[in-house]
Amino acid sequence: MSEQTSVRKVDQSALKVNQAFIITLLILAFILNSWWLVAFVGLVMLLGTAVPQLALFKQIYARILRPSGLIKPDIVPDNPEPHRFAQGLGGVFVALSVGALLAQLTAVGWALAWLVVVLAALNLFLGFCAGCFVYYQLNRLHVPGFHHRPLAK
Amino acid sequence: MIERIIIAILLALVGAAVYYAVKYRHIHRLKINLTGDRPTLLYFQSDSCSPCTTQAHYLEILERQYRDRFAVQKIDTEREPEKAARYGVFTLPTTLVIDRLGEVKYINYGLTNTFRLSQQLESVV
Repeated sequence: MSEQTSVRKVDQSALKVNQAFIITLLILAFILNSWWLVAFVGLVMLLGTAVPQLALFKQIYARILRPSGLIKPDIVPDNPEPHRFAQGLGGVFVALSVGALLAQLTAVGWALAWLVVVLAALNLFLGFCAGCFVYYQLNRLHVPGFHHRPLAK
Repeated sequence: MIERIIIAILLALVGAAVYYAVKYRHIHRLKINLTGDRPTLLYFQSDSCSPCTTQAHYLEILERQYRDRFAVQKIDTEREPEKAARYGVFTLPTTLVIDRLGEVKYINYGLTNTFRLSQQLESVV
């Protein structure tokens, strides 16, 4: 309950830069037929979920893009946890994609990678975070660990 | 590699085409009786919609910026589901920019930032 009453904020620009990197690198990986580039993206996503300070793409935004004025921050009231969960979920799908590619299940592997591209694109261009939606549904079902409700308006 | 580039481009084009076709059809099927002295921004939201908090924040910024030059009508889709169905709303938040003659000029599916909404409002205020 106390988390809901404190002011919680998220920088939408950081999220969008993260999504843009994920989309671009996964499409590049597909074009180059490069499983290791997919693995790199998955590693960045999973590490960034476990330890936010290690989120490489967000660090690029915070240390280079924002200070240089190339991208302005867009800080809005929101819960960070659902976005972190969404990134982790995406990282799991990317990891599964890598597993499928290494197991020579090429179609399955690239389908999983493209699924992450589509979901990240939905978030980047339409503002719909599928992972956040899952998080809040789990919250409604009172699943342990999913404590945060959508912020009151 | 060329084949993969072509596939990637085709997938992107198909995705964009589907999106814009849905939007075009949606705008042209809507008949709205909302004429007035000001353009209207219809805003569909609900309490269970997580990006709606952010959208409400963006709308507050725009209301301060435009100072009564447009009207905002907020529709809670959980309390007024029939209105949401009438306007063909399938995702939240959805915002519609309507000019003084009641014609829908823009539909935005999902979270829409102040820059885009501002550009749309500038064309109707």
